[in-house]
Amino acid sequence: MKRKRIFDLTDEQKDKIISAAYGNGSLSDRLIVRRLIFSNEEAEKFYLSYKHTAAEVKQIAEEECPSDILKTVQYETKRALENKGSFLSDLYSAVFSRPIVSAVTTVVLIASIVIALIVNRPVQYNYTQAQIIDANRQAREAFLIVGKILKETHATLQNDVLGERVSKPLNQSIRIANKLFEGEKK
Amino acid sequence: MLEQPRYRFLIQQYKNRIYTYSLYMLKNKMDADDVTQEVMIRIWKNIDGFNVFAAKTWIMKTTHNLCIDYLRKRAVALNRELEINELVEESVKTDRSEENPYLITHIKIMASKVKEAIQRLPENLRSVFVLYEIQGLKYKEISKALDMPLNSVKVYLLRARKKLQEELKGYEA
Repeated sequence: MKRKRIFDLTDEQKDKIISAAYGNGSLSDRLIVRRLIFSNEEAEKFYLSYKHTAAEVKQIAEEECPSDILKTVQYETKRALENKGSFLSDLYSAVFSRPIVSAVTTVVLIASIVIALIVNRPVQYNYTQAQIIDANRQAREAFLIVGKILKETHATLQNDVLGERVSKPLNQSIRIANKLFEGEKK
Repeated sequence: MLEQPRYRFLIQQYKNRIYTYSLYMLKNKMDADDVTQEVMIRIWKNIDGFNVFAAKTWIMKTTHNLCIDYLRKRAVALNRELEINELVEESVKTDRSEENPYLITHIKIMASKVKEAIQRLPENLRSVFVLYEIQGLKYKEISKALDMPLNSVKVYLLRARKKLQEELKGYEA
């Protein structure tokens, strides 16, 4: 029988042996490990020790989840479902479980109502009879002044602007045009 | 709510995985119970927007995150070690009862030692090891569940195997 040689394994060889012992590693790695095991006693010992542990590890089954956990979860979820979905309960919890939120909301609401009332309040004027008469008189005077200005403007337009600056040049141009027509007839 | 088929399916499918992972991570039955319960309630809360095809990763990620939260919270009280032996009776298959009693005892002791050794692994190695070896997740799924690069998953798994081997050195036959 051929005696196996003993030599130190490199870290890389050891890693490959460990992977192979746990059933991992590529096919080529496994072949390398196989050859190593057959040729090296140290490799074989190393491989077997890991292989033994790997077998023990593979035997470990998952632990069974206790049934009381499921019961508790079922109870919790059922209770949450019962508390969920009601508008009134949501409102109740929003208002009473968070007093700061409800207090802020109330303050904002009251403030906005007060501001709205102040801004939209109808204006009321209280004048005395003398103030009204005085205002009427002032208005009449103002209208008189405006009327006077309008009359003066009308007269100026009629006499100066239309007569002197519009009618006169218009007549002159018509006369020139007539002369031209007469000349052509001759 | 467990009457809803989709939810019931997910719970039936993953309840043992969630519980096992929590148990290995937290080493405490009561905390594992709490985490399992919390994960189940979270699944229920998210059931409407749940992508069933990505459920495994989502569930294991949620479980892992909750376990980490629990571990952080009780960092002070680490001496509450899980009585793993309580669970050995349940996990060892009953169909071996006809075999040699010595062998059964040996198997029980060995299984117990392996479980204890797994629980002694550092947290980051333990999570990868349990997800891969016990829960049967693929590298890619572990990478997503633990938010970890794929290569790190492989490296951690190798380290975990080495560490476990060291832990079990004294018990080898």
